[in-house]
Amino acid sequence: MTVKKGLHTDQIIKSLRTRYIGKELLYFKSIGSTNLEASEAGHKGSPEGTLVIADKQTHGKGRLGRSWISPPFANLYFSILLRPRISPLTAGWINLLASVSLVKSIQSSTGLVADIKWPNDIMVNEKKLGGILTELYLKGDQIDYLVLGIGINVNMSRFPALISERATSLKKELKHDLHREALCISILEKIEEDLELFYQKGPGTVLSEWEKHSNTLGKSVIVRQPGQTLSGKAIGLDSNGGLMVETEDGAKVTVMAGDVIHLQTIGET
Amino acid sequence: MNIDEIKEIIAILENTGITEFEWEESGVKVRIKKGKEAWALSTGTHESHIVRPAAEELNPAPEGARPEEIKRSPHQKMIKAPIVGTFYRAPSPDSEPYVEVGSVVKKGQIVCVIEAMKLMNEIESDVDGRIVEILGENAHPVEYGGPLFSVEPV
Repeated sequence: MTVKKGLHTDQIIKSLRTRYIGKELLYFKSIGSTNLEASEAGHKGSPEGTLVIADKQTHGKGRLGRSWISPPFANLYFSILLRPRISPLTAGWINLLASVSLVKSIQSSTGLVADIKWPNDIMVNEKKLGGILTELYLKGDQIDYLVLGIGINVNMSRFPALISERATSLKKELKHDLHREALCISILEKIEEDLELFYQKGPGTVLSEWEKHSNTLGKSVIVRQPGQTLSGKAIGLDSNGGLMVETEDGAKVTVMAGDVIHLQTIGET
Repeated sequence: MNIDEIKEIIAILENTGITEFEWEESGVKVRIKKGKEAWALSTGTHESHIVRPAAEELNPAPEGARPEEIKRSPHQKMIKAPIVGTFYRAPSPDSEPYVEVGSVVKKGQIVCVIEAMKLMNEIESDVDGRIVEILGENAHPVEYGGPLFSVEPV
């Protein structure tokens, strides 16, 4: 039986080797949404790297008003406040970057190989392990701040029937409990390292790393957007990080948003 | 040089102190000039211009402009897309739109969301006014600087 206990944020603070991420840490036993709290912190002028972390979210946010199931004491829910001095046009890359950082840190700290479904869903065997929701706040035409919200199913062992076929957790995959604090530290350090590289070198490395860890490219996909559905083969990313899809009639369409469904082909595992 | 490469150069230049960039390849010349009011981009003999939305005021329509632009009042202001992405009029498919034609908005009020690769950007009105026209189509792509709403200041 798993002992339900709160996060030891003192361990995170003590062991975290970052320059700015997590140096200011706001912990909540229960919160509406870590993204909302981090956004308010950003609005009030909190420093770059402020981390909002919670043991439970009552209104965990997903894309377009969807919810993120956030039971207590089992998983990781946190949001990082960033103030990148980059063009809003290139901010989307931070989203792809975070997915790469997550996959790499999950692999290095647990051994589990996860992959990325465009744009930034963290998947294991086509089941969702984690998600990222980023919110961008502008002042004029410059970025004021950006909130990088991350949810990872860590020690969750029971899933609501609605999502049990589509979601997984590290515990479910690895058959043992995980140390949430250690995983959180590993993720925060990797994100900061990858961000620094991105700020210095641009999106080239993010693109190649994303392609390496993605399970979307080369697949037949259906992209669902409100009011329209598109099907074709995912062939690459464009310079903005949009997914290029080649439709059956040979047209190349770039998708910036939508739900991507991977189609399994015969013989594919 | 294709449009994606041009966009990439613009994005790179935006973070630098470089104010002018010129590139010539296979008879096509691209000149990007960064100024206080606008960026102008011209390619070869086509004389096409992309103007950044820094000057928010909608100027009186120039000669040859589209008829719908001519009809607009010179006092109207335009809310434009600050990023490339998908335009949503409501926070979720089941919600009411943030604004409708005729809605009175205050400066700082959220009027729509633009999503790019799950990066959600709530767009705020930068003016107190009344929405007179909705120019973006829900759940459709918008280009950088593309018009979203026309607002009559009050």
